[in-house]
Amino acid sequence: MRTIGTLILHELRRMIRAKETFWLLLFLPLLLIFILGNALSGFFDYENRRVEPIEVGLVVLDEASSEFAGLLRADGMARWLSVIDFESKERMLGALKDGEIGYGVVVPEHFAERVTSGKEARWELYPGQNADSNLVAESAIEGLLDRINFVQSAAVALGDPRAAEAAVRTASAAEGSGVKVVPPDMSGRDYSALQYYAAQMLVMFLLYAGMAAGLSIVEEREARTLERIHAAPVRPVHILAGKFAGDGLAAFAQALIIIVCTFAFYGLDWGSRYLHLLAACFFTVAASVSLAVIVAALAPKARAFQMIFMTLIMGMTFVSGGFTPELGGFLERLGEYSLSFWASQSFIHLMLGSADSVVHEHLTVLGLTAAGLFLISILLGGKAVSHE
Amino acid sequence: MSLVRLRQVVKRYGAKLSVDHLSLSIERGEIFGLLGPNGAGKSTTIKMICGLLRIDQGEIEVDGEPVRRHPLAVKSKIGLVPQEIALYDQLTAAEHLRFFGKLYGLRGSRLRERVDEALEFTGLTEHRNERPGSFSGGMKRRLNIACAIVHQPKLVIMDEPTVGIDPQSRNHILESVRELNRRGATIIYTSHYMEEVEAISTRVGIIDHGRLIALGTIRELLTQVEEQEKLVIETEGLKDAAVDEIRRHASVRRAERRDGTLEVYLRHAQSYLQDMLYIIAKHEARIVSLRNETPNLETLFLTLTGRNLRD
Repeated sequence: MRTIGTLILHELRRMIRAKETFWLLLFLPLLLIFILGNALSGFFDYENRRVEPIEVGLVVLDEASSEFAGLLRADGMARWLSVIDFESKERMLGALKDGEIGYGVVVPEHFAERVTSGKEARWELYPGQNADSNLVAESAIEGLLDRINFVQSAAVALGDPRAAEAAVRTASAAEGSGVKVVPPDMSGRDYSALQYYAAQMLVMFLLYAGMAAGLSIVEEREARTLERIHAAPVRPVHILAGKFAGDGLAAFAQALIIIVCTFAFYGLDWGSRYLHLLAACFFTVAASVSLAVIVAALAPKARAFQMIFMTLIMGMTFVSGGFTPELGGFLERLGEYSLSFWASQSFIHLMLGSADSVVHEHLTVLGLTAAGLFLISILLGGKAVSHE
Repeated sequence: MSLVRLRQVVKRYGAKLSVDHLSLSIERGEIFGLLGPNGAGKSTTIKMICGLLRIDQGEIEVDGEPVRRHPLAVKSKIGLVPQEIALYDQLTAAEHLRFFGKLYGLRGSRLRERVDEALEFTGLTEHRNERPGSFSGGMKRRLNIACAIVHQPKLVIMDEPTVGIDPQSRNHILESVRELNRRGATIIYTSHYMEEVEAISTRVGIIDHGRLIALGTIRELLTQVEEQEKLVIETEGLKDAAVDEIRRHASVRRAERRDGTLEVYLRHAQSYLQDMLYIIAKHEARIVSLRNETPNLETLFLTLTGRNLRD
């Protein structure tokens, strides 16, 4: 144990003495969190971007469709749309042109009949002058049209127009407010940019901190100091333990300093579940150091190690949304297989005060990932610290 | 009793045999010079003695402990001065010694004493709080040595410790080796500079292609090539009669003439130099230049292998 203690202190001393340590591990993350959090706050600040209900001009040319049209006035839609009836299409278009209303909808003749008979049925939609208002109105009305499509499907499936009509009435009565409208850029995100980037940057810099362990091994191998340590009465497992614990402790301290500093200086709320927070830090650090040891076992030189590990860090940070939260499609799905995703989501859910089950799920995946990487690093660790 | 004993040691790198059934004993208190060209297997042999490389075949014992079975016990008795300068940019000279001293189990006042002694021994006391970045090449070499002797090992192994340094630092290091030996340490000193090995070693082993091709004291080894001692005399107007008279001299083994240059092979050339010069002068030839070529370990290596040590 004394030998391991000596190696841990040695590792910490070397790290503290390195010029780039303070800059890279402490100052830079705090600076980046501040810059990204403030520069991109508009993207996340939904409170300030609350959309006023759009005034929608409605012309119903089919009396039988009044129940469909009535869905636009449902309680759930009132947050997004304020419906104003017009007698004719011409007057509605005039009001739209003059900017009196933000959007126009015309329910054409025989619409209900076409819906219930399973034929193609459309509303006429007239965008206004404001692109944001158009986006919100279209999103809301698309949700409603989805509902109507359901009725159309029911009509086809039941084969009886009256049964389908009854289904519409039932659905309308029971779920008048059931139309779900979710604007595309607001789904599931109600945290600030500062919180989002604090979590992402914390994870990214913890990965960098873990990289120090691997880099230390490879550099000692190159400088032949590793051979010199091997020449002393020291077992390879002691060397590995010294690197793991020394650099792991430094990374863990870095995590705590970033969390405390962002709380003290930026007022960032990391949630009140401190043990979970410590667990998230511990798992992320363990995974990061393990990954670094694995790469150190495979990379022959320091330059190759740095290139591989930095590519991994940048790649994982990118696909997990660390640089921009709006990736979408394949990349977003790919991100769900990255260490960064589960680590950053663990921190974000802790910040949001998400349910215990959600936090536990994320921490479990993160912990299992760390355990898997740790086991692989133990298997390859002998090769990593070998001097031959 | 031998401090180090190698028995039929073999080390392979793939198909290449790096150390080929090497058997060798190194006695307590000697400075043993291990000489050989680059790639001869010197460093590999040393690393196996230090427990840094796996022994493929055979056995190595240090102070009665088999390296394979008790590597940590063996390592604690050895101080290795590696060929490369293996130091940390971030640590001062004293911190280096404290770190390595702790790895060898030193603690407290004993550690402090040993650190001070090692710094004094290598002449680095005044630089104890400086980092290697500010050191000259020679100072780095000395710190490299200090790290290996801080725990006062029984056996100090120096693997080419004078590579790339100035003559003054080289002399300082060679004197340090002698002083370490006077203080009781057994030294294994490897080099491909035969002058160094000749200067400090009590016994020498010459290794080539992983095999020990010669072993003994310097005097014993040079006996094998003493007939190669010669005088090379460049002359003008040398007559055959002079050459014949030289050949008849009792100390001369043989004499060869190439135009005006005469090569005279004889034992103890300096003792008979006057005789040779007298004969040449007597036959009215003029001496242009003269040199005495004394055989050394380089000559021996050339004789044994047909190659130079520095090839």
